[in-house]
Amino acid sequence: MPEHILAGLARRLAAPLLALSLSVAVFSGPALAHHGWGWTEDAWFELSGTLTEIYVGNPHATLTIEAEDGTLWDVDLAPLFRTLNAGFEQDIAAPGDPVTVIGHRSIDPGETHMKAVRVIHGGINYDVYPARAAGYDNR
Amino acid sequence: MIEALEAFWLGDELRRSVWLYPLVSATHILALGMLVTSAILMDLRVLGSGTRLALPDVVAHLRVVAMFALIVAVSTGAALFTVRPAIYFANPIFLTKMTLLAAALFNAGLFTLLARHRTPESWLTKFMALTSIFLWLAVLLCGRLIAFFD
Repeated sequence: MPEHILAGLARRLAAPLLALSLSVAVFSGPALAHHGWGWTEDAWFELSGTLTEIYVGNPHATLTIEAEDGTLWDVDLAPLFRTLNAGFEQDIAAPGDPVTVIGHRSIDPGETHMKAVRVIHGGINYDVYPARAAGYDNR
Repeated sequence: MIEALEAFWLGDELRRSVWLYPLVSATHILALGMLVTSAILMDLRVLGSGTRLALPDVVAHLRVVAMFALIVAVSTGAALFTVRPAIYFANPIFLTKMTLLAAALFNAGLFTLLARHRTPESWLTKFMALTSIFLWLAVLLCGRLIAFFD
């Protein structure tokens, strides 16, 4: 294959590909990356309230908690396998139960979203990220 | 409709199973790798790369691979969707991906219907091949980004 064709192709593709990556970068902003911990604050965050939704399933477990001021918080737990390993199963808790979660909240102050390392329910600690929960205990 | 999807038995199986979900997810990735690769190889051949292989042969062979991969990718994708349909419906990246996918399939369908590979020199054929490369790469990118915007 003549090399000038590939070179021409690369030249034609370069600008639009760059535009595509830039638009992704611009539109992502703070919303990007609920994977990992890059989107959360480093400081510990504790939230107590009433459980309104519980989902222990793939791709990862989530809770919705109504805080005492009435705010609804989205709480990410761990992937299913880790969450089950911590003993936190779907029928452990139900909407209406009082619950406390410890973890890290979103860097974005307007976003009521956090990721928990520990769920406290019925006086029991469920450490879905045990190493991080130990870090909290030894802080 | 979302409630009906949530009640679908496969979704429940996938929600609760530790092994099935990663297996279906891995199959989806394999299929979309085959699909995007075979589509882009056909597009590049139309644009003049790999001319030692005859264009009709390339298309005849890779189109079958792409069709098979499309069926697997769509069925595994639909299965993964039933796990949390309400969440995906509310995800702008997911909706963007579906729009781009529809555009890519429309482009590919039109290319096939009009038998554009018989006129590779035409500017329209080359334009459609370039469009195809963009759309498939954009679909791939959006697919990966869904998990980061939920």
